[in-house]
Amino acid sequence: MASSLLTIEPLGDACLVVRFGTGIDAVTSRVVAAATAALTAAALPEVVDIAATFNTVAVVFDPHRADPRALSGAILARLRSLEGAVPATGAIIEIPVAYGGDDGPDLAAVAAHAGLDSEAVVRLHTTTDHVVGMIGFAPGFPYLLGLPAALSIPRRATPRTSVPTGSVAIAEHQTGIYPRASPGGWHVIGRTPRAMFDPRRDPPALLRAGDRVRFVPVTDALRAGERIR
Amino acid sequence: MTTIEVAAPGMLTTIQDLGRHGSRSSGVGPGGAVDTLSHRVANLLVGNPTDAAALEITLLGPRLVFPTGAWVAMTGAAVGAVVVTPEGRSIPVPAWHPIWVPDGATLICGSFALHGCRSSLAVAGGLDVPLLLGGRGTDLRSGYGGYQGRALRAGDQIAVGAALRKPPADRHHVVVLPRTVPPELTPWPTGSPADGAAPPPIRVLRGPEFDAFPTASHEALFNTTFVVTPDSDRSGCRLSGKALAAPTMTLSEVVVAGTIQVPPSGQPIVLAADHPVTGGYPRIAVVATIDLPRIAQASPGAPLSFVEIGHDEAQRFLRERERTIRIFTLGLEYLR
Repeated sequence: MASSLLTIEPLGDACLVVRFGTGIDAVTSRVVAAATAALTAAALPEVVDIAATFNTVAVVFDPHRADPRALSGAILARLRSLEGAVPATGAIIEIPVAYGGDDGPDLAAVAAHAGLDSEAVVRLHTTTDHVVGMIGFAPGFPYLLGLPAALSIPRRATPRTSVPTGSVAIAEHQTGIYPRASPGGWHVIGRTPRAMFDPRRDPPALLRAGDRVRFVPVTDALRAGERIR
Repeated sequence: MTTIEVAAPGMLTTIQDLGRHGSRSSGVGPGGAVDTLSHRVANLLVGNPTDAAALEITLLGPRLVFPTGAWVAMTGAAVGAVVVTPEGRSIPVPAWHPIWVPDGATLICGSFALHGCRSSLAVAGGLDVPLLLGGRGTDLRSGYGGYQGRALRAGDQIAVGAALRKPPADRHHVVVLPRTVPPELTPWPTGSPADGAAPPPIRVLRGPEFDAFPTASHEALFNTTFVVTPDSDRSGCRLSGKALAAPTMTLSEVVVAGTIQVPPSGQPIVLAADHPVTGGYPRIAVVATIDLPRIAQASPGAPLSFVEIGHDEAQRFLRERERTIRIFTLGLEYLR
């Protein structure tokens, strides 16, 4: 782990943010995932929670108990032990997606923007490995890196007031999956029946930062079997 | 098993505790009581652990029937309350005191008098709702936790756990124990706005993007009296005042309660309990934990100003308050 690129900064008086450079890429995501796992396993007593973004790990602590300087030292010590280790690639998780039609109302527009036909868009989207860069926006919402450059598209000029649960949508260089119906400005190309978030599950989010995702097109037969909620 | 019956829910009354912690990596923010200090004090007053589930009342209080008597305590915003006994006698009861509500009585919480916007109502034994993701609080946006994932409605029956504190010798009359809560443990330690005291500025620490803001925005942040707007809610306190020019962010970053974000409109938002885990707006400052209860109690129209403090000061203020809480808690042992 390239700890020379690592900095620790405070976010208020109850959170320390470990930053791994300024980049946003699959390798950084794996480093962040490894650091998140190491700090979670360390179970430092004053640490309340750990959050991760594309290039940071935030350690939320109890300001009544912790001395931020000592905690900062403890965090660095844990991360130093990772140094030199090649972060493991995440598990591959397959997500079934029904592309186009009512499930993906923007598929045709994305295809037109890319100068491709819809089948080619689906082929490109399903033959690429996507990496979970972070979970945010809403509980269980994954920001997936690895969208093929040919499919890159700006956000919709007018966001939709409601995007259905399970919608698979793209914008710029990313794919996102809406865990619940919410407003959204990304282009919806399909929909998955997989529950991205379930508060009764442990962990509640289906995906974790660093996981690899492969989208699998749902055939009509499967579509009938695994009902889209 | 005792229960409380909701005769009228008030404007927005939810079950809250001290939040869910440990699921931020799944995108789950903390939630819980917005004013955690008032929540803790209310629970201490009735002999509960500080993280027991209690009611968070917003602006207009509920009407609650207690088929079986219970010790209760209201803290936070000054809500006028009355206990109506089964014989029909109305007895006004104050906030910040332990109160025995007799068998069959009704507790009527009124509207907030002059200042503050959230009240914590703790019941001895704690509100007994299922633990989910390490918390019992209501997540209104996701629709889970608390009482069926929603705000209270008339007709709801809330279960209450076993109280540690015994009923008074005469359980058929209202009992009001003396107040022992020091002013330092209220959201208004320097006197309430109702007394005409000018509220001191909210103490903040520099945010990660502070240096990326132009100097004019720093000056505006520390020299403007902002006003809380009516679209503020459990996710954040929205302000209106001089617009702050803000840099653009390329990546979403982690946010915490108290983070002051500046969206393109230039009008700052101070994040509160129901904030998302990440945000895409630059973070000019973060409210020190010591002053989060004051943000929680800033009602629409209230003036807010900010002053910068350092990390050592922030820690010292917090240590002093925790010492006060420990002394207060020890004093309560003598009430039993």
